[in-house]
Parts: sequence; C-alpha cells; structure tokens
Amino acid sequence: MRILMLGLDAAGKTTILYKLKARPIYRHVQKNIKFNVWDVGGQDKIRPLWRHYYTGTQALIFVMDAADRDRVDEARVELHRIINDREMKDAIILVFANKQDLADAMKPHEIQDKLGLTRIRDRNWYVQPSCAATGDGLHEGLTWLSQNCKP
Amino acid sequence: MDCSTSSNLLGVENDRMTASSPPEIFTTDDEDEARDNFIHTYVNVDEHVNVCNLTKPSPEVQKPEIQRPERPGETSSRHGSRSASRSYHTSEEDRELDNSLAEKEETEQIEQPDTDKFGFFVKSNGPVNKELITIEKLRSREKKWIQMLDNWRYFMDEKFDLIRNRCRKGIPPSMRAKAWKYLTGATFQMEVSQNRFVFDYCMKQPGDPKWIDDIQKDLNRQFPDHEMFSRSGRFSEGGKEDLFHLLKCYTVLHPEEGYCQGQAPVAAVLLMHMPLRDAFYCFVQICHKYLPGYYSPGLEALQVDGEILHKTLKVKAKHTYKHFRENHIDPMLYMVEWFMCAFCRTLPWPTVLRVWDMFLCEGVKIIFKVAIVLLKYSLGTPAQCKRYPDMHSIMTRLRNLPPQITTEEFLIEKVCEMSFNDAEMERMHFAATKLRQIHFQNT
Repeated sequence: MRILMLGLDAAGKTTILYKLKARPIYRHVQKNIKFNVWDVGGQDKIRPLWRHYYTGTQALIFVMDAADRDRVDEARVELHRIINDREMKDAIILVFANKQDLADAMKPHEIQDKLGLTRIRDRNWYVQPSCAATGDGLHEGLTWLSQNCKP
Repeated sequence: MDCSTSSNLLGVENDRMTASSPPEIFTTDDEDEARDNFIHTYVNVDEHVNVCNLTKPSPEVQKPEIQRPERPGETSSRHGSRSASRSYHTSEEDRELDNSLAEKEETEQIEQPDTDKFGFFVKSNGPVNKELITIEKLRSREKKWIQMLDNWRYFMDEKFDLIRNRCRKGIPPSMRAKAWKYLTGATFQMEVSQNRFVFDYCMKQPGDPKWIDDIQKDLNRQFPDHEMFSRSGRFSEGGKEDLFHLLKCYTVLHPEEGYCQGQAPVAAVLLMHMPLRDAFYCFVQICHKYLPGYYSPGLEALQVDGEILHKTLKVKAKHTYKHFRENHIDPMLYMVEWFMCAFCRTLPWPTVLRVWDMFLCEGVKIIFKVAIVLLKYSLGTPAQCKRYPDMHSIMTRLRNLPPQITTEEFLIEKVCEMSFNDAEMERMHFAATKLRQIHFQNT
C-alpha cells in the first residue's frame, strides 16, 4: 500500500515516520499489508513539488499541528489542494491531528470542521488525534488505513 | 532507510569518485523536526513488522494516553469510518460552517485554474495525457530506482548499462528529482565536494546589476502556463523568486559568462522538480558538463554542435541534408532553441521529461539524436521535401512539428533505436572546431 505523508512544515511528519519505523508500534498491523510511506518536506516553497509523488497513491496521511491555530487555514487550503488533484481522487485521507500533548491542541471534531472535511461526503476520510513524540494514536491511524484501503 | 542518510552515498560520475567517506551531514539529528528538508523517505515498513493478529491489540495500543472526547468511529468501531465521519456533523452550527467554508473554497477555486499532473494549467480543449504504464509497473520501477540510488556508486561502476536502460524507460516522477541530482553529480557537489559552500556564497553576493536586470526581464517569460511561473499562479511568487536567485547565483559564479537567455527555461525545469539549492547544483553541472560553452558570449560551442548536427544528417537523414543544403538552411536557424533549452520549449511535456531523463544520463548526444529524429520524420522523405520547397515553408514546418512524431511513444523509441558513433562524433567535433579556428584567423 502506497501512502503519501504530507503536511505543513513542523507539523510532525518526520517524527511520525521515525516512530512508525520503530518496532513496537508496528507489531499490530495486519498481515499482508505493506506500507510504503513517502514523507515529503512541508516548507511552503517546496509544496509545488508534492505533485510528483501523487501518482498511484492509495492513501494520504495529512499531518497537522493541532495546536497551531494560526495556520489551520493554510493547512485547509493545502489539504484541499492535494485531495482535489485528479491524481489523488481515489486516495483515502487520514489526518493526524498531531501534537495532542500540547495544552491548546484542537480536538478532532474541531479540526474536521476547520479543515473543511465535514462537508466532504464522497471521500473516505478520518481524523486521528496523535502525539508523534510519544507515538500515541499512530497505530490507530494505520489500523484505520489498513482497514479502509482498497487493495 | 532514511533517504537523507542514503543520499550521502556517493552519487557521482566515475571521474569524480574521489572522496571515500562523505561527511555525515544529516545523520545525527534524526528526530529533529527542524531538518525537515525536502527529503522523501522511503520506508518499507513491513520489514519491521512482527506480524500479529489485529484482534489482539496490546494494552499499549488500546489505551492511548491522549485525553479527548470520544468520537464516532473511534472506540465503538474501527470500521466504517466513512459513515462515522459523516454522521458527526448534524447540528445547524456545523452546517453554517460548512456553507461558509464551501463558499470560501469556491472562490479559491475560481482563482486557481486546474492543473495537470506536471503543474501546467489545463486548457479545456487541451490534450489529455494518457498513462503509458500501469500503477503496478510504476511501483515496481520506483522500488528499483530506490535500490539503485541507495547503491549508486556500485551501479555507476558496475552496472551503468542498467542505469542507462532504466533512464531510457523513464524515471518514475517520485524519484526523478533525486535521480537527476545523482545522474548529474549534483549530489556529490552539494554534499561532499568543496563546492558545497558555493551556493551559500553566491546567494550572499549582490550580483552584477546588468545581469540582474536581464534576468528580471525574463522571469515572467518562462512557462507562463505553469503554476510556479505564471503571472498569478498559486506558487508563482516562490517559483519566480527561486528562478531569479538561481540565475543570479550562476552569474556570480561566472561573471565572465553572465546570464544567457536560454538558461532560464533550463533552470525553470529543474525548479519544477527540486528545491532551489538542489536545482542550482544541477544547473551548474548542466552548464559545466553537459552543455559547456553553450551559454558563453558568442555561442561558439553551440555553433560547433550545429555544424556537427548538419554533418550527421548526411548519414542519418540524407534527404533532409540535401534539402537543407539546397535551401541554405543554416543549423543555427532551427537548432538553437532545441539545444540550448534541451528541447524543453519544443516538445510536449511528458516527452520533455523522458528526453531529460536520457539526456542527464547519456549527455548531449541524446539532444543530437532527438534533433535527428525530428528532422528525419518531419522533412525526411522526398515527398515531404517537395511539400516544403523553400526556406520559409521549411522553417514553418520545423516550428510546427507534426504532433505524432513528438509523442513519448514515437520519439523515445526512435531515439533509443538510433546508434551513434562516439568516436565519429569526437572526430567531427575536432574538425569543426579546427575549421572555425582557421576561419576565424583568416577573417
């Protein structure tokens, strides 16, 4: 299963990836699903380069900093940009509402509204609260992916 | 695993393989978010997986530490998230937010025309790019490329034919940036060689106002239908800014050469694929190693190659050769843009990328081959020559090449079929250079 992991800079993508690579979290992932995760940098200057990774992507992991209220709008625009691309039209969408350890972190329902996901009905999406630093929530996210991905 | 680590492997041409152990620039701070460079990391996670049944999750997983309100789909069932996601918004408040977001979204979309998968704005009646290979094929090629780039030195030394063949088949879009950096030797230059500080130095210099002026005039002229270089596209500010910096840096590096107009499109193609610093090093490699002298004042090297091209036609496309000679078609009339820009302004975009994949692997002879194929199949038969009998019609024909000969399928196949004698090329190059020198002395 090919997964593309995107998000604004400093959202926590790379930390998530390192956590995912660590053995303990992964024990529980279902047999016979191979995860190929492509983690692409998020600085705004390099966002136009994201498109080269779209083709053949079955799932998008969009990582956002749930405590960064100032940039939630930016995150929404980028997310919609990605999922509206025709190369990404079949990808299922997992949002990691990351940095839940921070006091001010937005909760999933708030994030799904602010990201404009609530009104998306023709796509399979899911918001998973997470904390990359501790690894919390990551496994749940991947479980959702493995259960919802069309082979 | 981590590509920032693997990219430290030497990825360079044979003659530059001098350093045995590149400095480990990125490997110490793996967890550090701040080094979120433009790297893609390929993880074949299943290698790590100890397979176990999902129905028996460990305690650690069942109890995430995060405090949050329970939401549908989260605890009661892990399945059916789609309906769970939907069922969540029912209140009026949500709908209002929905609508306001929807409006916002719509206005944004009106401003932003649709783009194709390369970032070009889609014309409503434009051709649709069909996929030539399946997703499975693409995936398998990606894996091969990852393996190859992780062991680049070995493949360069021992299996160059394999690299060449894979470049001829086309580099997967997701690997192209890294592959180009390795093929050109830019990775070596920017990470290992003493030249790795050159970019930072050049960025700090103000640059010659004359060149800066020239560069600025050209910023709006490169690929105006691409989202990074259009007048008002979503990424056009950043794209054009990077383009400016790249070209300015090159004039700082080579004040004697300065800026030449053919350079901007080449730089733009690179910037469509990689960040500024990477693109700069690729660009420098192209100017130094692939097309040396093409952008120098007088365009001497380009003219030499023009003459070589003309001579090659004699063997490869004799009707074209004869027809051109009779009508006094100087190669400079048609080949300047082709060669200077490595066809990026001439061919349809999927074909451009395929040509560049081969060009960056095999060098300028690919440009020659492409030129010969185009000439041979547009003006190669006696009938075609008859149909375009004079200079004006020939030039019109070359500016409007028949679309069927510029497609990926046709052109790349013909280019790969064509054999080219390197020694003969070498000889012609020597002869042409000498002839020009004698000519220069006599005048």
